[in-house]
Amino acid sequence: MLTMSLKIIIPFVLILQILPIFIWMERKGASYIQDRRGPNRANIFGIRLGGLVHTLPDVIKLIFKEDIIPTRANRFIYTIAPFISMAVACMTFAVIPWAAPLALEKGSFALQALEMNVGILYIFAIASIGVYGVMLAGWGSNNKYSLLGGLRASSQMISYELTLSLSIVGVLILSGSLELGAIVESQSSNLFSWNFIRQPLGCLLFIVAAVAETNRTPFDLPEAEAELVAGYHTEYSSLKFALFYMAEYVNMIVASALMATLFFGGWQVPFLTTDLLREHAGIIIHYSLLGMGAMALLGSIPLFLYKSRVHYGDARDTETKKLSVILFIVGIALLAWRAASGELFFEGLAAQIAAAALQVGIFIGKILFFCWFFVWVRWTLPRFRYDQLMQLGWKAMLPLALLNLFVTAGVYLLL
Amino acid sequence: MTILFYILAGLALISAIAVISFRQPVYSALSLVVTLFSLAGLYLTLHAEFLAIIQILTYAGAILILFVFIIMLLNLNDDELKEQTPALWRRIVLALLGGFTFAGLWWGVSKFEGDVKNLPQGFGSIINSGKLLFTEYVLAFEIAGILLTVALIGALVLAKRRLKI
Repeated sequence: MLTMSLKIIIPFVLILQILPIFIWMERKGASYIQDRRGPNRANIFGIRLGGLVHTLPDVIKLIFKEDIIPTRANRFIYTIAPFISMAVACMTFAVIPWAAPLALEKGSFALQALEMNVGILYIFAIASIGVYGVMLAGWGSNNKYSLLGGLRASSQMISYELTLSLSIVGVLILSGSLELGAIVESQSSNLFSWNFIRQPLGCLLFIVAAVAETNRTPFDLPEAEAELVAGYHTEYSSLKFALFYMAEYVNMIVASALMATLFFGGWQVPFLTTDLLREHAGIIIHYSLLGMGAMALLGSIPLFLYKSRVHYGDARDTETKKLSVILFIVGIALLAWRAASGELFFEGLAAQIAAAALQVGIFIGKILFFCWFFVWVRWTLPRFRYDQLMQLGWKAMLPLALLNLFVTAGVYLLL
Repeated sequence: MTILFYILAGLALISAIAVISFRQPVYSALSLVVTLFSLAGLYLTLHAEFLAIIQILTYAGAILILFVFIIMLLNLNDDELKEQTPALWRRIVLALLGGFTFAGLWWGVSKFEGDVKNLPQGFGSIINSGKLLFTEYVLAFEIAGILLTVALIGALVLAKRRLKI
């Protein structure tokens, strides 16, 4: 019971930790792509971490805003819609494996909340429920822009769901299982047998359809601000709006995790098998900690000497000095600790946990890379027109996904 | 397990009654979603994972979304949703039809003599369901496929009748 609840809670907490980093990435990425600075004001004792601290006042602001329910809105549906969105977004994470299963005496212990033999179908089933949140928000607000946004969102999500599910059938044929752990296992640690090499067309279609499913530019017609104010969440404020906002980002994190799991090897570290990682876990962790210490130490020197041309006249002026001191102390501490204790050797369960930690790290790295990909696409491409969106979905992507399926099945049968 | 069954079955019944009692069609559709979810939960307690997921994926996730979509497109006002009493003969026919369906189900369930305690390995998994579909029940499967294709083509013909292509 305890392990089960931990298995459910830990991934959830992990996503909620990735969330502020992702939002920061989005705001900062957008700023640099548009040649501006982005968030750089909020600070704690002058420390801004390049705008990362901004998320904290943003959350506080959202909590304390007035929560408005329009007079003619349907109160029940209006209130329940953001909860559906957020709950659905968080539920999908249950079947994603975070690391190789641990081999215990009692049997193998999978590092995922739910090991279902219908794994990937579970994700699609739950994701298809997510449309209700958007639709009901649009309908319940009693606002024509919201309604149009909700209608657009539902038709778009239904259209692209087909391509999304068809594009991965090739992967399912190759791995012979619907269970995500088995799909990751089948890709092995060899970079060249990951599915984006074996299924390039499927990978491309999946990424495009995933962007469309999460309602992001160039597919963000449900909230096209030039036409529909803010689409389905026009009337929402305060924490209800925050829930929609968070659900959008959690959905993108789920989509990124799926891209990494299905096509980019999931928790597999390139060219390092799980056995190899377990054998050398101590050495790898030892040297990466040493390297991090050295980098912190070396990085603190130019940071200390850096002189900003901007003068604020408050605590922000000494930010680089404070950060360099912290970095210096961390660097010294890491180096001293590692040098004093010598090389690490893990055995048995400890080695497995250390290897799993490395795999979780690489998986989160992959997730963040695809999150960045979402940001990059959003601020690079212009929005589609509605008929172009439908044409692309039904007349280009669906036939291509079918073609991919037939070719994969044919080749698999012949080989 | 038994408690779970009673909760899910109760939820399914209450929401099914709610479907036909609400005047606002959106509420009816949403109650139907709850019914489908509790049915999926019942399938899960019967070790039919694949069936449960497909139930949510196709019915709750696709068909009912289209229902809600259409209801929203119509955007009915309150005065268009007046209470309507169907004619007496309709009520009698519908009650008879419902009674026959219930009797058929009752008969089918009471005749069932399988071993539900000792399930074979991988019961209800996607592999076993797929194998059954494509071997033992392949005729029914193909007929259902043809039926769906006919419906699809019919919808297309009806939609395109006024257009000259």
